[in-house]
Amino acid sequence: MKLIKVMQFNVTLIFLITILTSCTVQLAPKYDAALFNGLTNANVKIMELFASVSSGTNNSTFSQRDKNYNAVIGLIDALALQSKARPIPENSITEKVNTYLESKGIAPMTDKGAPSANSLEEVSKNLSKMKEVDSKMGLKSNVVKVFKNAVIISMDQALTYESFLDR
Amino acid sequence: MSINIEQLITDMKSAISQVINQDVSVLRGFSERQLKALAKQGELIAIGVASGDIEEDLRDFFLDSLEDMALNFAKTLRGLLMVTIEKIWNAIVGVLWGAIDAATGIDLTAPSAG
Repeated sequence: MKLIKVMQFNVTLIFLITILTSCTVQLAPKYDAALFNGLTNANVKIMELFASVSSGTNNSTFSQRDKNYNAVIGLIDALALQSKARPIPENSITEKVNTYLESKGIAPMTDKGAPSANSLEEVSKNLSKMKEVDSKMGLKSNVVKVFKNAVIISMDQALTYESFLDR
Repeated sequence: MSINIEQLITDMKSAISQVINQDVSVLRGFSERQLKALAKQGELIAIGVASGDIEEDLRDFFLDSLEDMALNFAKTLRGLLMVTIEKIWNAIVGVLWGAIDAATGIDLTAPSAG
């Protein structure tokens, strides 16, 4: 009798475990090595741009830097697009959790895109503004420091997230 | 062959600890870097405004941008946590399926979530 109970328990346990663990999940996008390499290369080019203007600029020499700005901004925009274009996994688990969170007035777990895309858009926005200020009135060294720190913050977000996807 | 519940629990705990130990150092390092850099950004804006190097239009741009960066920090942190949750979930599933495989002798492969 005891043996039967033990066997029943084991069968029930295996059944429950099988239901509970019937699937592995993917809650975040896949790692994209090309995107990560693109980000590290872009980071070098951005830092080179900042090094060239670190002591401030005069707008009379803006035409010498215009091409560099365009190259770096274009590169970042392309990477943001690449990050956005990647398929985001959707599954029943995240849907259920999001439905529950929304019913409690809490923001869902995932947005429609990877967070790195938002960070890269912020980098592009800052570099575009820096280019605009440089062309209109030149850059003061204090202003360059603010732009540089802003870009470092956003690049750190994008690089950390993309490297973390390598799991 | 039956499942050793105590061993199964130990194995699951071990699998979870391994994931958490690896990821916590990354999450902590990222958070510390971001918080320091965001605080520094506030300081740099204040210095620029006080010195007159940052005029009203640019000040508003930097303040809006700082707000966006703080939001993106939170979104990135949430994204990183999602990856950790995924790893923990899959580590537990891996241990459980391994135990079921061993107990039943059936080669089960955990399918992906639908």
